[in-house]
Amino acid sequence: MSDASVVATLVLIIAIAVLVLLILAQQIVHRIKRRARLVLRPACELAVAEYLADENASVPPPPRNNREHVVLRQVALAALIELRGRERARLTELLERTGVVARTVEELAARRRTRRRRAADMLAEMRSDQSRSALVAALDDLDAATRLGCARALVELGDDDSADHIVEVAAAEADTSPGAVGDVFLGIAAWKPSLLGEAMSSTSSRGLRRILASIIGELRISDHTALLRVALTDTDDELAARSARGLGLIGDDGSVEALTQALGDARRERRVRTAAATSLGWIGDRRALASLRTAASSPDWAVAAASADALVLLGEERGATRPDTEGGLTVAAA
Amino acid sequence: MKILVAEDSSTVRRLVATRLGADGFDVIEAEDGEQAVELATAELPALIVLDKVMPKLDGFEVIRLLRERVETRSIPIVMLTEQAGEEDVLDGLDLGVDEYMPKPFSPRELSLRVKRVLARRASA
Repeated sequence: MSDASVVATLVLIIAIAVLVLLILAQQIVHRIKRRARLVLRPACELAVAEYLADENASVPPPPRNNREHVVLRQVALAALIELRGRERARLTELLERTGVVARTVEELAARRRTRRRRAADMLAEMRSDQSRSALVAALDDLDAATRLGCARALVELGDDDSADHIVEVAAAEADTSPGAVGDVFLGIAAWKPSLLGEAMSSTSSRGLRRILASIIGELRISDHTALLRVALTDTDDELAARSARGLGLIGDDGSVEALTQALGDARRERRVRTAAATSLGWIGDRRALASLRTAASSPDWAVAAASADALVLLGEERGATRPDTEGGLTVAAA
Repeated sequence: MKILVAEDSSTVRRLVATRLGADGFDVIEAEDGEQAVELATAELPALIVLDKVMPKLDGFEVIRLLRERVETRSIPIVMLTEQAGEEDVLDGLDLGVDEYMPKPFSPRELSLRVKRVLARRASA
């Protein structure tokens, strides 16, 4: 082995050792900080609880250092999730008056996007008016998750002025972050359900239409049944299936004809036809009997099974050979 | 009057205990199901505020154990839970839960419900 390679090996070993030491040191520091916060936590929990238990109590003094600030914020967030009503509002007020909201707002401008995302999530839980303008500005953040977090926070705040901007931000990420976008629209459904209809009518995004169809159905927003009926005829089978299910959940008897058409359309995917059959059972309108009886003899076992189940909901006797396994079907409800 | 608060979140436990304390109750606390059974048996509280989801034993298991013992069988229970679905409520009522308090909740309202359950028991 040459001198040069010996030196290179030594340098490599030393570098690895230094790296391991640095990681260990970081872990130790992290543990010490965590332990210090755990020590502070009981007193902080008591101060917050005493403040909330007494309407006349004055706001506790602001945190004296970063550690106290972090602990107060942790305790408050743990409590905010569990509280509602006057006590929740008072806790938000406490966070405003102790500077916790202001400091979290500052973190919305942090260099690291993970800090910005976390700040947006925390502000969504705090629901403070003090954060409104910063959240609106951060709807244009470079990071999509931060933008969505801010959109959700503004929905929680019920910020009417930025409603269109919120929808725009969420709609833009429907194909890449359906879960987070769904959260934003779930909030919108509770706040301004009419926006869901507007978004459903105006968007060309397949992903967004799927999300909206699910939310409208699961939350039984009957004002938007017409939109679901249109979506039921869409060439996107996933959207059509979700729309079919939504119409059944809403129990819309005006959709019986559209659902029977979907059920009888052999070109449709199985998921659309089974969802249509199930929904017809839920709606319970006897106009669907003939179509369901025909579909109960379908060569597709899933369609036949769903139709047989729907027929039982409509008061028919269960057939002698209800299919329950693929290929096991012959005749369902008679 | 002694109340046992069994809740694994220290923050929620403190909120509830402080509220009940401010309303004149003597509060004892348990942070898991096992501790709740031990304290209920040893201290025989007038009422238990019980979280459904807890480590070691969940709220329903705690109730089953307490209902098996003569001395703890009749202690009223207010269940604090985020899972107040129909099945959960029916299961709880079947086991003998006196009142449900779904989360998110108001500690003030919880305290009023505790008083109402105690008054109901006293007049029974």
